[in-house]
Amino acid sequence: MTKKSSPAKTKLSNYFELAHQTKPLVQQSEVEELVYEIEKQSFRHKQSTFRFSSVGFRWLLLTTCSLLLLILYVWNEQIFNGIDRQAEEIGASKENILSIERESGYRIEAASYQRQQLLSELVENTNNPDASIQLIEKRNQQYITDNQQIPPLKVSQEILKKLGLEFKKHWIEYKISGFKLMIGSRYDGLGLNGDLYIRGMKRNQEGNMTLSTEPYIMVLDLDKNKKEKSNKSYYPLAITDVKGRQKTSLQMTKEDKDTWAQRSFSEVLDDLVPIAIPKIGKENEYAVVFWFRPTKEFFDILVENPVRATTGPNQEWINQPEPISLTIKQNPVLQDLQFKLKLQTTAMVNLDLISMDGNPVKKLLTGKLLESGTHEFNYDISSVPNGIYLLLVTTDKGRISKRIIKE
Amino acid sequence: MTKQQEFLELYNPSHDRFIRFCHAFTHDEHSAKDLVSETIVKAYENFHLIKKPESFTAYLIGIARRIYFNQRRRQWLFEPLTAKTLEAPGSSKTDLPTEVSQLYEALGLLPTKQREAIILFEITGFSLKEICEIQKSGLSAVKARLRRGRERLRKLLEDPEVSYTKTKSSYDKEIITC
Repeated sequence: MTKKSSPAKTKLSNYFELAHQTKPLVQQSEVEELVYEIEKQSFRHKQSTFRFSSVGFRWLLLTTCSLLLLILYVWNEQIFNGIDRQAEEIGASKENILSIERESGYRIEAASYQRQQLLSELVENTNNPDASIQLIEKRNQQYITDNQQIPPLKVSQEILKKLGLEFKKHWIEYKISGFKLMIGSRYDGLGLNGDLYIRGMKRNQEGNMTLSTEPYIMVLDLDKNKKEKSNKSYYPLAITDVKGRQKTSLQMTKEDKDTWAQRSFSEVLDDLVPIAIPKIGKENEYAVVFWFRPTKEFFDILVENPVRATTGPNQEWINQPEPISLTIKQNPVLQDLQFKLKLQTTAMVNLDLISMDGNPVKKLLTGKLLESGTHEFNYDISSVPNGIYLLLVTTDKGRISKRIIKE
Repeated sequence: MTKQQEFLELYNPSHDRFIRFCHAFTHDEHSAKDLVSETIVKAYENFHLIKKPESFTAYLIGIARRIYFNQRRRQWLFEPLTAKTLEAPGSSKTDLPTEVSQLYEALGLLPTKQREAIILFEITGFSLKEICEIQKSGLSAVKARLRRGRERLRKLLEDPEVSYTKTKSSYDKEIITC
């Protein structure tokens, strides 16, 4: 069947047919020339102009930036080399230097975040006008080797007596490892400027101690103390003034010195508990601060309602590989107290949160048998008021505590 | 094989269809040549981006369409209304046969979509499916454009006087329908 088309349609098809047969307006050779010309122009363009997106430019940019960074690094090293070295000496990371402004100048020291918080709190609490604290970054300040500064704990005279201090008429005595420390207000000899001096005397033989400016803490060899048949319990001790600046540390005889674990005061600072020692006859004025290691005996004395361990005391862990280690994940604590407890052996564990004046605030865990290994804990302490607390871990193998800040 | 060779190898089979499309679309010799050059330059610059070498003709025509519409839009927006803009396109003299010239002029009076559909189907020889893709329209729409376009062309070619009665309003409408 053939389709009959109209004359108009036929005519239109003819138009299209003619258009098909027409020679193209532009010849193929012209297009080829055009393409070659484009290629030629683009090649010239590449040679003559510098494109921002070109590889060369990127390399140039990268090299320039690297050189600039290198120059900045070298300049930085040269300018702040001295400060960095000082920071290394005190074990501080470069980003973590704390400057404490004093009348005598600036003191720069290593500072953890916790320490910074403690210092800030101290300034607020004591209204100490000469201690403005700021976190600085590598400023060229005077470096003074000095002690750390932490708010001391003020306890009653009864507790101080239990800790081994004897209150005499003109001085306070503290017997330690064959020495007798005398802290008084008027005494010739080894007096420090002002109303404080410390004098050490060997038992049965009067002698002067050497005062040292090195910031070390003594850790006494307890076994050796036992050999001396002392009835007293002795505690590791460091002494500072009431603002936490170290006045002295004790250097015993050479024989004894080898038995002391001499560690940098700043290294062990967070594990120590500062106890303020009042002046004679003045209850609200304090002469020095004794820094105690938080041993079980110490806590038993300090805490009015002591949390007893399940078995008897064992202090040998101090000089041995520690059977318990406690790591607090985040300090200060906002809501959740998270920490890791590592036990060498299976032990019965008590966890308590106690305030700095020794009263239990919260019992976290009571008498639970935990196997050896690492245990993670997470407690909500949002109900606990803000402040500084001690997280006390008591086991039949020993006791360990860490200071925490609740914010 | 260099880039030029690759380009020309793909281009050569499409040459006739592409040139006829440009010529019919612009229905003016100079405009057609300009459109061809600009399209070739663009196509060559972006040749590395081409995904379907088998659709090279459609690729060229797509570029040509965009260039043409952009030019018209710019012209409509920025050029003042003068006698030149009102002048019907395709007024320049060419060496084309009279019938072909009349056809191109008549095509120039059609709405753009219709004109485009007629050129692609009748002169360039694309299939309906390909035209749908180029115009981004449905099959029925393309068919309707072709039917209406043919009817109008018949009328225009039977009565050549109609081709010179284009008004300003119809010109604006054409631009807007682009």
